[in-house]
Order: sequence, then structure tokens, then C-alpha cells
Amino acid sequence: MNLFTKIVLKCLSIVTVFLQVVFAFAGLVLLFATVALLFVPNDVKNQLLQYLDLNTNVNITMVLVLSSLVAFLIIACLFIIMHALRKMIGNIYKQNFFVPQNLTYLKLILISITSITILQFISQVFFAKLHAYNVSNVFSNSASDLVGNILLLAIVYTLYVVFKYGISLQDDSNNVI
Amino acid sequence: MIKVNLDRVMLERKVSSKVLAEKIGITQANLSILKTGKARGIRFDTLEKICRTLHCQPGDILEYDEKTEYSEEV
Repeated sequence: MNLFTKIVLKCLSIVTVFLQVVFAFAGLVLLFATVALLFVPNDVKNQLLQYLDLNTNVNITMVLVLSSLVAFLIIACLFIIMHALRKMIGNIYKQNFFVPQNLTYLKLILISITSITILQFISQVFFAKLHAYNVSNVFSNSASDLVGNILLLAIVYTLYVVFKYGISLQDDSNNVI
Repeated sequence: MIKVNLDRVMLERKVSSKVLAEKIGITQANLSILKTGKARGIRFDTLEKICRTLHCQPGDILEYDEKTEYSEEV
């Protein structure tokens, strides 16, 4: 492995650690906010709904708690993706390319991206029904975001298939003396 | 299937596993896998090193046995 690749991998590893910390912090803040929403007076909730530009005919607490929970789940998936990516980068740095551990991490990334895509689709439908747009960047705002996610899913799945085949080739190579 | 007669050749040449493994540059564990016929294959350079060390021909080490069939399980 040349120096350039090593530097790139180290930089990526640092970025994933930083993002993991950011997502952990965001998740904790969201959890705190969700719990706090159950206790704050209705006036404050109404102010929040004004920010969301929603009509007040809906159950305020339910809307806010549900959207916070969905956002929390999306952030949790992002945290898992960063964790799996960091571990995979670590393995590749140690030149352990085709090991079953990497396949497990890729599977974890696939499941997380699928979950994010589904959650963003649900939130898109949910907010469209309430006529609320641009609520947060955590949620998907357009169909192109979903298409992007599906494309990412296809890329990661291709990578998963390649790694699966690579592991069987590595196993074959290890048995040739 | 292909039978590996490395054990017999080593016994005839009075070469221990430790010495052979060191001379051909593989671990004793891998040599054991090779001797017991559990390996899926053998590289030409490994075969060459074995033949050079034991002063023998590939045919002395490997033998085709018609009666037994190759099994995928290793």
C-alpha cells in the first residue's frame, strides 16, 4: 500500500470518527428534545408548529414527537454507517481486505441505508400530508434525494457482492500452498 | 484424486518437517496441511522448492489415485 493511499485512509478514518461524535451529539440532543416535548406547555409547541408552517388542526405533540423519533432513527442509522465505515477502513489499512468482518460491516451499512431510505420516504409522505416543507435537512425534501439513496444502495450492494466473491477467492488462495 | 506422498519421500531422505518448512519458506502448519492432502492446491514454486530440497521429481510427491474421488470438503 503506497503512502498516498495510507494518508487517504487515515483522513477518512478521522472524518468518520468526527462524524460519529457529531451524530452521537445530535442523537442525544434529539432524544432530550423529544422527552422535553412531552412536558413543555402548548404555547411553546404552537410556536414550534408556526416554525414548521403547519395548520393547528393536528395533534401537536404527536406530530413533534413522531418527527423527532424519525429524525433520531435516521441519525442512529448514520452513526451505525460511520461506525461500520471506520471499522472497514481500519481493516483495509491493516491490509485485511477480504475478511468476513468486512462483509458484516457492509451488510450493516446496507441495512442502515435501506432503513434511512424507508424512513425518509415515510417522513416525506407524512410531511406532505401536513403540508410542511423544508422541516429539516435530516429529512428528505425531494424525490431526487430518494433516488440518490437508492443509487447509493445499489453501489453498496454491488460492493457487497464483490467482497463476497473476493472472500471466496481469498479462501481459495489461502488453501493453495 | 491426487495423493500426496510427501511424508514417504521425507522419510526416505531423512528430512524433518521443521527443516523442510524452513528451506521452502512455508510454515510447519501449512506443510502439515500439504502432507495430509488437505490443501486445495500447490503452487509451482513451492513444488519446485520441495523437489530441489528433497532431490526428487514432482511425480515422487504427487500420485493420481483412480480409486478414490476428489472431495470438495477440506
